[in-house]
Amino acid sequence: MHCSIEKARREHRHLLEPEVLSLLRDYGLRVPPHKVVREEPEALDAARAMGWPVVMKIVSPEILHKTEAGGVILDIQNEKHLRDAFSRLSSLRDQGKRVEGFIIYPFQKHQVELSVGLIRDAQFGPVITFGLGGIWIEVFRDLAFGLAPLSPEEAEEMLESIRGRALLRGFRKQPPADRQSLTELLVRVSRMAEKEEAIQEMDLNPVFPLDQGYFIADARIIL
Amino acid sequence: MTGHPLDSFFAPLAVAFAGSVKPGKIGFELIRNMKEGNYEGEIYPINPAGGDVLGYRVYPSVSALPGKIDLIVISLPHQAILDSLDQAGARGIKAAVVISSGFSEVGNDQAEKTLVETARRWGIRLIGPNCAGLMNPWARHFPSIEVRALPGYTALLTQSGALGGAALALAEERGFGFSKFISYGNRCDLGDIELLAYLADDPQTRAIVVYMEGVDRGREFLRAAKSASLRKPVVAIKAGRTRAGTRAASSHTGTMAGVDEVYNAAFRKAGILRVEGVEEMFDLCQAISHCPLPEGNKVAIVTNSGGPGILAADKAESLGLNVNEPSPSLVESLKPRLSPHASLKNPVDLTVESGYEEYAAALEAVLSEYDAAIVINVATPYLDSTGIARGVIEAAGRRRKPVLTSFMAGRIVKDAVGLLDEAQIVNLATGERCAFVLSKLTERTKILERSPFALLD
Repeated sequence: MHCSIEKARREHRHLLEPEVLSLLRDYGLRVPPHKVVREEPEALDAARAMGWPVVMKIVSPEILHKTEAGGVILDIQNEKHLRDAFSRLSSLRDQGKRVEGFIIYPFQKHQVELSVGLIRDAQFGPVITFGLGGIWIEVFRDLAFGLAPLSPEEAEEMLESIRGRALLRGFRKQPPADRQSLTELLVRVSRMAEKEEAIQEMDLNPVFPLDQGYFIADARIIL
Repeated sequence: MTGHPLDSFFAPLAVAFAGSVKPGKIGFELIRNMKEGNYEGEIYPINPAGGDVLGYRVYPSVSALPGKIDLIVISLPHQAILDSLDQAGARGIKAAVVISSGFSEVGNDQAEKTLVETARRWGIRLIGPNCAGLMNPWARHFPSIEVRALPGYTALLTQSGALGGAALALAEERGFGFSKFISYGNRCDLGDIELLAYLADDPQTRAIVVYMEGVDRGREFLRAAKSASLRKPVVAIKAGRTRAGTRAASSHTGTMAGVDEVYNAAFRKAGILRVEGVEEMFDLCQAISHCPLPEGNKVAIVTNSGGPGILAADKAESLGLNVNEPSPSLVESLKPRLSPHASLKNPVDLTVESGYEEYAAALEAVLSEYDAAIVINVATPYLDSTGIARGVIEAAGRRRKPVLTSFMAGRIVKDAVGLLDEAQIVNLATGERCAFVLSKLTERTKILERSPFALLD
């Protein structure tokens, strides 16, 4: 069992976002650069080092759905924005939520938003999903399902079986997605699902397909 | 018998029936089904009342039976079952079917546990309880309360006896036969998993159909189905397609994932072909029993009428089949042999007055370029459709490619359909149904071509 899962279980909580990212990295996924900070000056340093714009999110064991709780601030363009963002997120801490810090990522925007998910079925074990992500996941429910472990061939079939597959081929000046790294992503998630039996559910959403690799903009794991 | 431990169930030389021998009771009906099915082995009714039933002597107890018994079929009330199993065990009987209900299906888990323990003590394998029995029509062996199946090449494994029974009744009407029928009920010992393995080895079985409501050992079931599906097609009818919103989930993925999609993913992993219902199952299994598999997904449609051809083409395309136009060279070779009004596209529309020559020529030509063909004939009463059937049979016989036909309709094509049947060409009511079958055969080809599946567990 991965050490961060062990720790979270001991503390009877879900994984925090930085822990999710380190877990994903240990299973060979590409995770975006990020930094966890506690104070404003640290946040400013991190953002400057990463380059503007950035995203800042709250890291709290008590907040699972961060966006709904107002715990995510996107597209922070400069130092002034960052200070505002910091004080807004800090107010959540002041409301009595346990807050471990704030996580800062480079801000990415992409026309195509994908999702990769994992559920554990009582009968069939881990099931991996792939499809459109972002807010479209609820609207279109355009998801492919595959039982773990996935072979690269099965992962490729999943890519090909969503209705929105044309989005992966590049459209309106968008470059085509890097299919090989997307299939690799699915295969690795499926391996992780088999090894880490404590993981009950996972959302990587949104995931942006890049012309090389992909960008996981948000990750959540339920134990 | 080939020496498989489960052969006692399917090809016994002597069968005992412990149950009522009163007409209308299950025990009696089982014996009657055996007798009317012309079972050639020994039949031993067991009932303390003694006497005779249907011409067989009734023995008072299992212990009183003469000779070697391979199988006992029990339809006794609860309290008498264990005693009868004990006696069967003492007589060296190793196979028992328990038809009686009132076990785990009504929450009586303890009784079921005791039943299994008793059987295990004697090394008896069990099918049931709460089941409708089994059949091996090739051995004229019908220890079941359902309509006797005709002999055929499809094995039907069903959890629900009633659903299985309904399928058998429909099959009889259609003339569809079975290699084996097994209603496994509560699967307290032998269930879908063990029986899949048996049927994978069964030489009379060309396709295995699993009629299921749910699974209880999911991954094991998939492994068994996968190893069976590498040898012969495994087809599943899964009841309960509705998206159950019951999954308690905290993630988006969790709330989005319907039970049905998970089943589809599981079936795909195991190489199982899913169908929606009994009709589709019959269509597909009939084709599996008689058609070669297509090498690819290119399908030609040959018709003498536009509408039905287009409906078939649309259906084929929506199911992922390739209904591309014929190549210029194929068009050139067809031209001189068909009516000047024929439409040389896909569908190839021969026009209404085409007969033997045109059908044979068109089918032969398209099969040189396509992987499979659907031949539609909308018959007119004044033209002889048996000639057309002959043309199709001849052309289809020259290549090992799947050809499905839809001769329409009713009385005027009865003779033609008879010829097609004889030639083992599958004829279905519509071209759309042919397209569905071809899409599943193509899926089967892909399953066999798939590089070794990622391992399960």
